[in-house]
Amino acid sequence: MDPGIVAAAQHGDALALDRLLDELAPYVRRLCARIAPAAADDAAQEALLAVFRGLPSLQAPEAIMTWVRSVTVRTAIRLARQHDREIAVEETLIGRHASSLEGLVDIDDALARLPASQRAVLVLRTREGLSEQEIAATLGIPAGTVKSRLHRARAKFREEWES
Amino acid sequence: MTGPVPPVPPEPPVPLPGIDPVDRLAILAAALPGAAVRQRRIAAPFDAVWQVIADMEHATPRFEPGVARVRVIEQSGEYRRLLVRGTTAARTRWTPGSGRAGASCSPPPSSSPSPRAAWAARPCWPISDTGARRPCHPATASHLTFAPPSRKSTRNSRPSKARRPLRAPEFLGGGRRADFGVDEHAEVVARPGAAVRGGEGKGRARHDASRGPVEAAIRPCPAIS
Repeated sequence: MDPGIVAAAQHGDALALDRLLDELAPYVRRLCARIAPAAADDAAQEALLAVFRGLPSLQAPEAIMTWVRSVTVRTAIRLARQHDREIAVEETLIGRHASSLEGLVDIDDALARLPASQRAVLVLRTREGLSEQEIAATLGIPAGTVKSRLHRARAKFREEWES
Repeated sequence: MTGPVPPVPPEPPVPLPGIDPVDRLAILAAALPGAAVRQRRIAAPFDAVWQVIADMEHATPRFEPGVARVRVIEQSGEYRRLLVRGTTAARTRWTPGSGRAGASCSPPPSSSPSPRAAWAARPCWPISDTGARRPCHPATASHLTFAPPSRKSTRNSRPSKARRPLRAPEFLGGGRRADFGVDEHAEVVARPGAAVRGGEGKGRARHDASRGPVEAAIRPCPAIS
């Protein structure tokens, strides 16, 4: 990411903002699709809105990707939790929704069955390759919490995979 | 419960659909101080509407009451830079994303922020003290009038002061201040969460974003400029 574009965008240059959006949108969309698969579109839109709204206050343009990742992950978790709550209410009435015809063979399907917070740490660790310290910084939680959450996420993932 | 964890595939395909043009416009507007996005459906085919909109130099003054003349001063690919002259001689540059269904504005840093607010915020229907909408005309009001949609949405201000006309307009949307000269005229539709404050320091209202967009009509006040 060119810091010059970021700096110009921070000063309200519409063309720089347009280019920045082109560069950030695929990354934000991909993260949201992993963490909030059922609400990826809404999460991506809200995350991009939050990023662009907070852009003028970004102190270090060179750290924009770290900041964007943090904003995106937190937004995606929030929307995923919101969606999970809505689904939970529906499932008490109609029962758990059926998975694919082949059964639970899809890794994404297994990931989607994890709680949003556990799914986020697992995605950040395995897909994004972040360290536990980086995940802690991204989510704003202690490193110890990341470790325990990762442990539970792996166990839950294994359980869903084998069920 | 003790089986091996299945390997994570390197990069499964994730659908990456493009951003909807209107959503894109909302995102861009979020980073442009004073910008706001409003939508209106027009009962006509898209091609017919777009044919009019695309002819910015000739068509814009026909549907923008505050625009007197538009001239394309630079064109680079799908982007155009426009010189816009308002009906009150306020000038600014306007850079819409011409290839997309919308526009954003980008005045030069040296220009007054008030024209930026004027062209970024349309349409403007000032809200009277009673909350009733009324059409605005450049020759009418000469002061800032701000009335939140409901009394409950006004925080940090007493209702009696929130309802009374404020003077010495100071637009704080996006942290940018707009000063108005004697002859300038600007109308602003502030985005949710923006604050509008009277220069006398007697009234301040902040809108609750969850209640929808706040609308504020900002006019220059000759007495304080």
